[in-house]
Amino acid sequence: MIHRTKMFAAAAAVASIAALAGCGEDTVTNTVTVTDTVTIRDTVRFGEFRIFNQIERLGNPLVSEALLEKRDHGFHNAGSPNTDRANFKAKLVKFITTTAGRSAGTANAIADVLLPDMITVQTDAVANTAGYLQYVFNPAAYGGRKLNDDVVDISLGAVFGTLLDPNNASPGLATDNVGAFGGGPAPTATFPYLAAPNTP
Amino acid sequence: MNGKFALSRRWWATLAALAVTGSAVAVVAVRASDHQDTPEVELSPRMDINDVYAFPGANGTDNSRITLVMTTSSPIVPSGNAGAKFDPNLLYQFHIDNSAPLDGIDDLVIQVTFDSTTGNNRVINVRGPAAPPTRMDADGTPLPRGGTATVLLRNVPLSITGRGTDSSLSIATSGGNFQVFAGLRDDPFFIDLEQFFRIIPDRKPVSGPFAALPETPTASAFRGSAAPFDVSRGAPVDILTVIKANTLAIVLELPAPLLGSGSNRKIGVWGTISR
Repeated sequence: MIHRTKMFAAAAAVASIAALAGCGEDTVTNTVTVTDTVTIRDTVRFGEFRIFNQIERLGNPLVSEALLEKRDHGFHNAGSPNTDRANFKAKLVKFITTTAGRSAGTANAIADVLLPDMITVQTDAVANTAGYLQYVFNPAAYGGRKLNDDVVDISLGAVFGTLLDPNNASPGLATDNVGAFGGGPAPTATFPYLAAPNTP
Repeated sequence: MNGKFALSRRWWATLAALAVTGSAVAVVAVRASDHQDTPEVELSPRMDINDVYAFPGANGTDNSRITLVMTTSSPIVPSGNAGAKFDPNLLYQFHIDNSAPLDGIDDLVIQVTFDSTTGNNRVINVRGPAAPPTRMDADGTPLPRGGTATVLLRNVPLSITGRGTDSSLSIATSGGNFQVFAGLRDDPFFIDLEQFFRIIPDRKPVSGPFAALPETPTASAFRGSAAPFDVSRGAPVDILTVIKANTLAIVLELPAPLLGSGSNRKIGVWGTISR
């Protein structure tokens, strides 16, 4: 598709890495045992151990918050990706066709990319092809999501802009015009990469 | 420009319709990917996952390793840094689907928990990556995979454990093969949040600097350029960068084949919080 090529170029542009400054880490401790391979599958009978109930879930950015109505957020939070298309695809498509006024084809394409709601990573792909939704346009790409990926612009661009579809776009809603980190601190080049916390 | 205004009308018409029917409107609710959530989660920020990231190790350069990030609890304002800590009653999990083809069911989980120690002896435990427990009901009947109630992995050795402070637990295996950081960091997410709340005022928070923004829409499009911060506007342009919002982050870096090898190198990743 012509317009996918366009989006790939845009995504590649936002994926360019900002210059990173090194930063030392503070606390380091301890002891550790590593298990490189684990084949044991625990079998646990409910009632014997503490049960943890899932109350929050997040895969792809903005899916729940931007595309699902507030009343569905709890439903989404308590779910698992394997039932996402059954539970949410029609709602995503409805949002994109009615609220954003896009074609059913575009809406279905976006919904199929975002659901099941998980970040897809081709872990053995070339590292410099990493970037949010890169795999949609280049099946061989690493994908994933980097700290500096402009996921807001990519998402708004797909839903409201011309990244996937030139028709019925809304240029004023297609980008928030904020670049990487919005003037905030850039990540560091060393683990754990996220910049040191802001101080009072 | 005609396109924009046409769309704006359509958008607002929909908003109005939803408002009339009493629905909560989630239109372009871009307060960070997921900063704040359902009422329950909003009332307990520590249950809130803000964003999940996955990229190659060594700062995005080495695909033999993979970095997984989960940010929670944002926005933590710097004056609140001292009180920010992971909740010992919660289970933080990364889920990995490595089926070929992907089926949306977790084949592996990495479970992260914290104890309630204060000071410099806070314990973090990381279990996995390992297959999630096979769950059985009280009669011993296995429950379907893909469910969302779980227990801590018990027969799997701890992958990594260590101690640190509330704001910084940074540990690694002796060979550096498996690195873990858990603690306070700058929230890397970015968005023109003020303009977003001007477009959709019903999404703005009830307290904090954005609460003072008008209740009725004062914009129908994003700004041409978002200035870093203009004090004269009377509110931060972008709470996530301008007021220097922090987040409680869990960052793991480990050998990529641990999440799937051979024909299972394509994976799906998501994060959850359970209690």
